[in-house]
Amino acid sequence: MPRVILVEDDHTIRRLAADALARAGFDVDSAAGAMEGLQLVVKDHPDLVVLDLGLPDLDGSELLRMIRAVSQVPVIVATAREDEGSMVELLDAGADDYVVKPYSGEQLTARVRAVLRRGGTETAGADLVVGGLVLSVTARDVRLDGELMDLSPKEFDLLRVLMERRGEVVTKRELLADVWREPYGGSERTVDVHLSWLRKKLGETASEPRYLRTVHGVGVKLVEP
Amino acid sequence: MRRRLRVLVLAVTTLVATAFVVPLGILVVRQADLRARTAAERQAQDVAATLVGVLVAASGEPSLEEVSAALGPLPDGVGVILPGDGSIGAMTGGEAVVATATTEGRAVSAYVNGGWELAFPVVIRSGVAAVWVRVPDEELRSGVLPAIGLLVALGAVLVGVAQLLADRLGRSMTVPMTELAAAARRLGAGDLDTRVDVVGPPEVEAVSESFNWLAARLEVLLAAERESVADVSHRLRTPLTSLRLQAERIADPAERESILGQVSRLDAGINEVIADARRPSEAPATADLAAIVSGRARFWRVLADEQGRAMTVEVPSVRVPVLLAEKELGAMVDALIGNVFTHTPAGAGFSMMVEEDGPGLIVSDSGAGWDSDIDPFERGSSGRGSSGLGLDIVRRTAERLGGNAYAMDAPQGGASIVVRFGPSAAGDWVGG
Repeated sequence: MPRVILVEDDHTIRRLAADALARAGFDVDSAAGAMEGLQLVVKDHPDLVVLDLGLPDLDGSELLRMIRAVSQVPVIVATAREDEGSMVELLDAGADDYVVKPYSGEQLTARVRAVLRRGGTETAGADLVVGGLVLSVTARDVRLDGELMDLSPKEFDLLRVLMERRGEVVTKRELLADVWREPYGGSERTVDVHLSWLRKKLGETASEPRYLRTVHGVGVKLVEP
Repeated sequence: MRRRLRVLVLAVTTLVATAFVVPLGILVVRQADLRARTAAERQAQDVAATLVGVLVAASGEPSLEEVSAALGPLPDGVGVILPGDGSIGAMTGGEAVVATATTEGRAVSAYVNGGWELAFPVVIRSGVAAVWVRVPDEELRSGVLPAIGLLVALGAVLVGVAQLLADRLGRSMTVPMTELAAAARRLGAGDLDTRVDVVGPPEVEAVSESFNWLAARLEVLLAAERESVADVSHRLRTPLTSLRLQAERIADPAERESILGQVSRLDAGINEVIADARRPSEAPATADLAAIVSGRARFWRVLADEQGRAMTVEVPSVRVPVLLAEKELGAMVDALIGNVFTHTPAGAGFSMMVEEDGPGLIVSDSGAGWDSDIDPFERGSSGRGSSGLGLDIVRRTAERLGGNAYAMDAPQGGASIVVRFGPSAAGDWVGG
């Protein structure tokens, strides 16, 4: 059972988020402050850390640097700021992913699963491969049968999530949460139109699918043709 | 200010030039007159001396012919009158001055008949002779006109040079003021980076420095205000996370969805506040409605084709500027198109028409039309794979621009949404 440490100062969020992760099958321990969190990381060797940035005793980004100094454990940062500058700064500082408040329990667990998948069964930063489709996370490019695909940033993120969860039906709401970071907002039609473009660029149609299979009333899954 | 300065300098220099040119002109006239008369007097004296010499050299009273031969040919306007009505030279008039000179035995002059006449008495044996000289007006005023013309020209040059200097001086004062006014307008329009060069007279420099200080201060205060609003909004996200996680634990699905929906709307509201606070305070951006609609139509066409929907787009061939950033306008168009896909079945066609006047956008579909019990613009009224926020944002954005958005029945029986973007932004167009 993957061990997750949740560092969050808000008592209610800590309790509920830990509960959501526990119900999703993770072994969760939590800390209310930066120092306590750092001790847990050093002592327990967790598989993943969920780190809130707004901690009372130390800024979360400072804690992130301290964690990086002693461990390579994957870290998901929970932040109230979603501007690009803050995100780039956090990722450069060593975060593996981030969730923007107000996140849902489902969104948090999906992120944890995705990061663990990348850091566990696959080596972090390694290419994702499904059939003739090869996605390089680090280079942010995708090749289809060796040919470089021309994808928009959203199409890339969409394909990445679907490739990370290959064979699983992913709901449009999950995609809105994971790709658009709008777990409750947004329109599923936005997902539809991006999926249409992906199909077109993958050289397939909804009636004659290869990689992208629509599961009516549920969502979409990416499979090896 | 420049015009006033020029008028003032024109008045002063004209007065000064007049004060000099008029007396100088009078002096020139008098000098010319004096010069001509002096020359005539000298001529009369020369003739008189010659006449006296002839008379002294003669043994008796010489005859008129002898005197005439001795004097030689006299120039025009010079005559000699001998006692007994004999005269030498072509004389025109002069009887009055000659009579007075011979009678009174003194030189007599007078301005008569378009000229000046001088009679000079010469006493001879048989009585009193007279030398008469006449100077016509033309000769009295000889050289006057060119001299006066030169004076007037010099006066005009003086006035002209003064005007030029006044204009340069006016420019040095007004250009910084004009630039200051333009900078103030730019600042008012939201360009907080605007500054002015500190140039010009000391008073204008002081105003320019104050303006630059004010702009810098405004920028700092506004940035702090915006950051404060954004920060407060960010802090609201933590209790909102708690609320969302708690709502997810509610057992009753209907109640859970209802509360989660409210949380989403609250989240969207906070996002809007943050976006507004972070929106650059530059002059309002403009986007071309025609280009955006065409672009978004191309983006959605792939899904429309997949679902067998006929899509028609009518846009004018000219730019239709709207006072919105391209991203914001694109999001509005996406919300309208997404609404059609959400509320009409696959196969239902739709059209988008951009109207230049208004400007406006009409999105019509061939679906089942509006359900009279539902306000499509009401938040959260969708529930069909959409947050229902899109049309509400469309309406509020249109209203912010002074326009509106409303639903109506489409001509082909489906539903239409009309969006008016307020007064035309043609005058504010800055796009490429």
